[in-house]
Order: sequence, then C-alpha cells, then structure tokens
Amino acid sequence: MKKITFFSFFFTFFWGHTQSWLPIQHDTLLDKKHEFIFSVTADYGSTSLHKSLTQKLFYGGEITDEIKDRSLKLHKGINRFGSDLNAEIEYRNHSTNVFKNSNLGFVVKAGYFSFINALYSKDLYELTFYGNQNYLGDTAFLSGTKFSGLTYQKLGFGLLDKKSKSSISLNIYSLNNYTSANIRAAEIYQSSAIDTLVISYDGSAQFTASTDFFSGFGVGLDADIRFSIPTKSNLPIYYQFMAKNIGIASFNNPLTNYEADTSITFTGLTFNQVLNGSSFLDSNYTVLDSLGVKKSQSNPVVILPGFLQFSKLVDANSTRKLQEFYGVRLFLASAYTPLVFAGVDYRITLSKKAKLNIGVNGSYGGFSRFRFGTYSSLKIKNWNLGIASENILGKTGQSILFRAQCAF
Amino acid sequence: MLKYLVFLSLFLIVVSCKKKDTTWKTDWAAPLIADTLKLTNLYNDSTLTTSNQTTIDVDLTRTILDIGLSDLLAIPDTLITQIYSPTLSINNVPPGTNFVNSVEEHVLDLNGIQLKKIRVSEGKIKVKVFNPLATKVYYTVQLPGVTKNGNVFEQTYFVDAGSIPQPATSQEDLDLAGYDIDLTGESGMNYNRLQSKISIKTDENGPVVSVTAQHDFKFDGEISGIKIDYAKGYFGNQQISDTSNVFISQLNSVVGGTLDIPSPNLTFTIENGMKVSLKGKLTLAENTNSSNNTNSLTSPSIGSDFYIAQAVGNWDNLQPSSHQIQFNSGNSNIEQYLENLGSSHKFGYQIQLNPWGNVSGGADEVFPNSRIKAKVNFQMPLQVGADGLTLRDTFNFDLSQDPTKIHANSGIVTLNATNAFPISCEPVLYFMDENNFVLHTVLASTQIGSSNLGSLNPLNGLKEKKSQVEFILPVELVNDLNKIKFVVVEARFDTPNPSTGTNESQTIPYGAFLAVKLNVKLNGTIVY
Repeated sequence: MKKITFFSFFFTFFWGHTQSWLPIQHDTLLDKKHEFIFSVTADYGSTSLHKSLTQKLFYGGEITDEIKDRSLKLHKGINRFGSDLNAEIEYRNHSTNVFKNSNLGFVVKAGYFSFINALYSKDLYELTFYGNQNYLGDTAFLSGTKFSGLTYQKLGFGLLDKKSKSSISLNIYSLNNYTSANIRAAEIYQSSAIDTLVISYDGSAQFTASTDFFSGFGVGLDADIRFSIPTKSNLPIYYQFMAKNIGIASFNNPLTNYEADTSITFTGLTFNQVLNGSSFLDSNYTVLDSLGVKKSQSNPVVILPGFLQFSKLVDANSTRKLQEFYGVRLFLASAYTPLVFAGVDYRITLSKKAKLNIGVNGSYGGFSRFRFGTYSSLKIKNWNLGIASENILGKTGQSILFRAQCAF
Repeated sequence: MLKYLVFLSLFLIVVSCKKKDTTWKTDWAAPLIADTLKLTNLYNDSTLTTSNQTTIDVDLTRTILDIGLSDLLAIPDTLITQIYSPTLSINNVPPGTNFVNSVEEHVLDLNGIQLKKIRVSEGKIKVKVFNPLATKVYYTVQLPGVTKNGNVFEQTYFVDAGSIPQPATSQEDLDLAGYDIDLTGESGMNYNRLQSKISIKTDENGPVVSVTAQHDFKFDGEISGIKIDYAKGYFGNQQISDTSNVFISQLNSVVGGTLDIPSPNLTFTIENGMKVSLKGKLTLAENTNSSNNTNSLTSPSIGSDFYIAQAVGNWDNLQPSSHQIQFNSGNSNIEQYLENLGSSHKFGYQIQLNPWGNVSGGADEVFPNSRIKAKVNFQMPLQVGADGLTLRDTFNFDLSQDPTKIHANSGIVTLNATNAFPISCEPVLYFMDENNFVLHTVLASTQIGSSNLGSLNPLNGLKEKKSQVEFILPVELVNDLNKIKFVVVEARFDTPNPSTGTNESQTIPYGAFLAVKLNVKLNGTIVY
C-alpha cells in the first residue's frame, strides 16, 4: 500500500505542471470543534501560449526563436491567457453557537490573490515577440485586445452552518496593483518599402499611480452553499455552489488614464525637423502628445475577478469507493470562458485511520481548451493533505493546488 | 510530505521572485527621414536665378560695407556755459527788474569738419541755471539758431532766492530730437558755432535787492548723446579703411578633391549716397581654405584708386552715384581664386571723402537715407566639375543604451535616393570616441549615382538615378554606442561623364533635386 501511496504522489509531482483539480470532499460526519484549511493555487493557462514561453516569462531566461515558433503555431485569431495565484487560510469554528443557534458556527479567512486576464490577437503576439518586420507590406490587427491585472488581499468573517457545512462570509479587500488596457480598435500598417507607417488606434489604459501596499479598498462576499439530493440508493448526492471574491473596490488615489482615438501616418521626418530638434530624436520631444494620447486621472469602481462554481462533491463517507464529480466554473473576467469539468475519484483505505483518494479529471474552457488532470489526497487521523494537477498532457498551462486541512 | 511542501514553496518563490530577466529578440523596421533636397531649400531666392527654365545661374550678392552719417560724423558731448556778471553794483533794485545778456557763441571741436547745419535725430540737453540773488528770479534760456518747426529753443525757469556763496539752482533735461541747428553763428558766415542767450528778471513780488559785480548769473547747457540725420558743410577728407571678413562655413568641410567652377564673374559695386566726392581703393581680396591654403585675387583693379562723384538730388529724390570693379577670367585669376574653395574671405578697402578738398564751398550734404555701400556680386552658370571633392563634417552623438533594458543589437540603415543632380556621392560614416579615436567605420554599400547614369523622367524632363544605399550597423558598433561621442560624415563627390567615366564639368539642370527616403531595420532585445 505504501507503494501505491508513493506512486500516487510521485505521479502527481512527476507531471508537476499541474493545473489542478482537487474535488471538495464533503464529510458529513465531521464532528470536530475546530477546522483549519490552508490552500494554495498557482494556475495559469492559455489557448495559445506554449508553457515553454510562459515559463520564461515567469521564471526568466531567453525566449529563443524555437520557443516563440512553438507558441506561434498554437495561435489563432483571438487568444486567451490568464493566471490565478492565490493563497488562503480559513478557520471554521464548529463549537461556538453564534446567535445562540446550535447550528451556526463562524468562519474567519484571509488570503492573497493575484489575477491576470488577457485577450489578444495573433498579430499582437507576433508584433510583441517578433517585431514588425514580418508585417512589411501588411497590416497587423490588434483590435479587441483586453488586459487586466489585479493584486489584492482579503480578510473575511462569516457564519457556518454546522450541519450542511455551508458558509457565507463578508470580506474586506486591500488593493495593491491594478492595470487595465482595452484596445477597442487598432491597426498598424507598414509598407513593404518601409517608407510609410500607419497607426490607427482607439483604446485606453489605466494604471495605479501609487506603489503603496494599500492602494485601495473593497468589499465583497464569499459563499459556500452545500446541499444534497436524496437518491433511490439511499446515498444522497452532495452539491456545492461556491462564490468567492464577489465584490467591488476603489482606489485611494486616482488612477492614471491614457486614452487615444486617432490615426497617424508617419512617412519620415524632414531635414528641417531633424536639424531643428522638433522630432522624436530630440530629448524634449513629447511622444505621447505627438501620438494624440491624452493623459488624465479618474477613480473608477472596479469589479473584482470573482469566482463562481457549481459542482457535485465527493462524499467522503460514501460506501462507494469510486465516485464521479463534475461541475462548471466561471471567473468574472473577459478572457475566461465558462469551464466545465468532470472526473472520477477512487478511495483506497490504507488503514483504519488512513485513506487515500486519487482521481482523474478533464475540463474544457477557462483560459485554455481541453485539459486532463489528476490528483491525490491523503487523510490521516485529523489531517487531510491534497495535491492536484491538471493539464498533464497540455502544452499551454501549468498549475498546482495544495490543500491542507486539519480538524480537531 | 515535507518534500511536497518544500517543492510548493520553491515554486511560489520562483514565481514571485524571478532570478533573471526574461529576454527575447525582435526585428523592427520604420521610416526615419523622407525629404527632397532642392536648391531652393538651400539658398535664398535671390541667390539662384534662371532665365530659360532650363539652366540655373548663381547670382549671389553680399553687402560688405554699409555706412551712414553717424559712421562719418559724431558730435561730441559738449558743455556750453554763459555767465552774466554786472560790471557795476546797483543798490535797491526793485522787484520785476530785467537783466538782459547778449548772445554768446560756443565753438564745437569737430576735427576739421566744418558744419553749417545739422538736424538732431537723437540727443538731449541738460539746462542748469544758478541764482545768486536774495530774491526769486525768472531765467529765460534761448539757443538762437536752434529751431523746431520755426520756433527757437527757449525755456524759462523761476529760480528760488540764493546767495553768492550758495546760489540757488534749477535744472531740467530737455529732448533735442527733431531740432535743426544752424551752426553759422551770429554772422551767418561761420561754422561749428552754437549760440546761447539768457535773460533774467527779478520776482515782481519779491524784495528790493542789491546787485554787485560779485553776482554771477550763470547758465550751463550740457549737450549729450547727439545723433544727427542731416548735415551740411564740409566733411573734411577723412579716410576710412578696413578689412571685412566673410566666412562660408560650408566650405570649411572640404577636405580633399577639386571643384571646377567655370566662367565666374565677381563684381564689387561701391555706391555713394552722400553729396560728397569719394576716392576709393580695393586693397585686398583673399581666401583661405580648410587646408590653410590662401589664394589672393590678383588684378590691375586691386590697389588702384577709383573716384565716385557725389550723389545728386535731395531729400526724397536722392540718387546715389556708383562705381563697379569687375573681376573675370580675362582680367584676373578669379577662377583659381574661387576654386581654392576658401571658407574664410578677407576684403580690404579704403574710402576717402573730399579727395580734392573743400571744392564745394562747404556744401557737402548728407541726408537721412544717404549711405556708402560696397557690395560683392558673384555670378556664374551653375555648372560644377567635382573630382573626388570630399566634404567632411563632425556631429555630436549621444545615443546611449542600457543592455539590461530594452536595447538594440544591430541594424541596417537604408537610403533610397532619387538623384536629379549630375553628381555622384559616396558617403562614409566614422564613429569616434570622446578622444576622437575612430572606433568603427561604416561604408556605404554603394554610391548615390549621378543623374547622368540614370534615365530621363518624361514628367519633369530631368534625368534621374535611383540608388539604394545600405549602411550596416554591426553588433560590435551597437555594443559600443555608449562610447561613441562623435560621428563624422564624409562624402566624396564626383561629376562623371557617363560615356568616359572621367569627371567633367556638369551643368546643374533647373529643378534638380535629391529625394531621400531613409529607413532603419533594427534587431533588438526586449528585456522584461
């Protein structure tokens, strides 16, 4: 059995590039006073960026022509990329009777979240990683490009339904960095003789001007609603509706906005411009002004990239060793398409106090397309440790999810 | 389990703290310069002319001397003083008594110039009167012969009572602009004579006073900053000599080769807008080129006196007299002189007024628009023969880059030229460090071809030659960008005959142009 345990974990780590899928194991018999859950997710995915390129972007190193070409082959007209990095710790108190209600406990949670979401054209990829020489005599289309990135922290307090294990919490958020860009329409044309450059664009971008750790404040909700549906076999099916970070935020200081809706044709400078220092070659030249980019400040309310999921849970106390799970997930982000997933979980009883769950799953959607994953979860006495991977065979993403649960 | 946690921790650390930069190489291309050089871009409209819309003539005129009355004649700052002292003591002088003084003349020292009349365009007089009497006094100061619109200059001051040791004073600054001054004196036959007159009257409401011989009734007139725009008289026979320098910086860039300039004409024109006779002499014409070779213009006209009659007419119809000295290939070495391609030119001259003395009887006249001018006029058909003519110029260069940030690795600058000049050009770039040491030399891939090697464009009737010239900027050069402080652009010009290949004199056609399109291709590294 030790071999099986080792193999399962080794298998998970060997593939390592884990866009994980770790099903929630619903334990109706959990009868503890305190419960700590610590989870970490590091997940990025793309329809088109090969992970060899993304790894270089994250970890550093030279992106060679081979790496660029590998991703280029995967690109289509419109492409998606996103990453979700978060760590969260949650404390569930089952012993306190909130509002003197024996069914109500309380929940305290804190977490760190970093979310990137990008929708872009193939031409933007080529321009970025190859330059514009591939487009001589051609037009690069950049319309529809959207990008946003947000880093924030969460502190939440809520109520716990001891019986159903459902919970709901009210959160406050502290924002760190925010970047948003929206290119509604943009084209770049380069003549084959390299004597004309036409740039037309209609777009905007916003940045946090402050580098403060607490750049903004927000409020939001988390909900973990669990319910069961009885079946003929007397084994109810447990479902979960989960919502995380559904909220809004604003910034302490106004954001810096850049906005432009213009078209520029550049055929070269005149000698007078060069000699009189009135060109971009001159140090006093203001590039943004000449490009028609207007700079302003605003303080918008932003919607947090909230998370929604409806899924069937794995029943930790079921008599069935092999169980299925499935569901649908959505992030409130433009590049994220609804993701559907399904998988099977198999429980191995290692000893009286130790159980091992292993599983495989498949998913479609999100920031990527089809992905295949696996996971392992080991329960020993009060501890439940799980690690998951997905996208074992995928080329365009990596992720890892780790969860430690302790109840006493 | 511990190792799993270690792995996960490492993963997060790696994700959050990159250990090295992400880099990738990209290739960019963009236009840099698009412009057309025409001769009208280079010179003012009066420099190049055409009479037949086919060929161009150079007609270059520069003024090397332009002097007027103020350069010839200066009225020095002058203090005129008039004192009235009674010869007898008078007791009990009643209030309202008049003391009248006679007119006094004051001679202006003008170094041999004998002026009869002037008009002041600028200047002032500070009038100061002194009262030694123990009663208030009216001072009237008059300058006979100093008139404006027919009115004689006259000012009256009411001066407080004073004493002999401490006379009371009153003073005022007055503008003299616009005044005509008759300098012929009381007799009307003299010159350089300024007249003054004071009259004194005691206060009608003052006390009875005594006047003694010790009472000096004084007036000071401090004339300063006088500029005149009209003068009549005899201006003397003063001589003006000077050397004018003309610097043509573009020619200082010539470092080699020859330029053939056919059939040039150089004309000096001296104009006399004053009603005074002149004698002149061109004493020197020489130029020095960038190699420090000096060439002097030799001709019988150099060093020979010439005479110019006085201008005719008056104020509004003044007609200057003029004298021309021409230099051409027949009477001078003008061709060699110009082909020396001197950047520094010196022209020496002498001008003397009234070479025969005061033959006008003091009737010399200078009006506000009277000028003595010397102009140089250079004419030739725009036809050049360049044989390895090499121009070199140095430019400051400051284009540093940080290899740890987005930077360029190498590049190609491409020049697409359409040349309608019958001149070929072969450029070379030298990149030098702060000690002028050449770090890199970039040769053009080919030359900008002469239009004579091209074909006729029926639209404009000009021969045109298209050339594509590449300058390759290698990795080594781009790596040294931070060290490069100067760029030397050197260009060799030839005017080849397409049939023989030898350099010959070529006519620059009317409408000739050089259309330039410069673009750059850069290989760069993005550092993220």
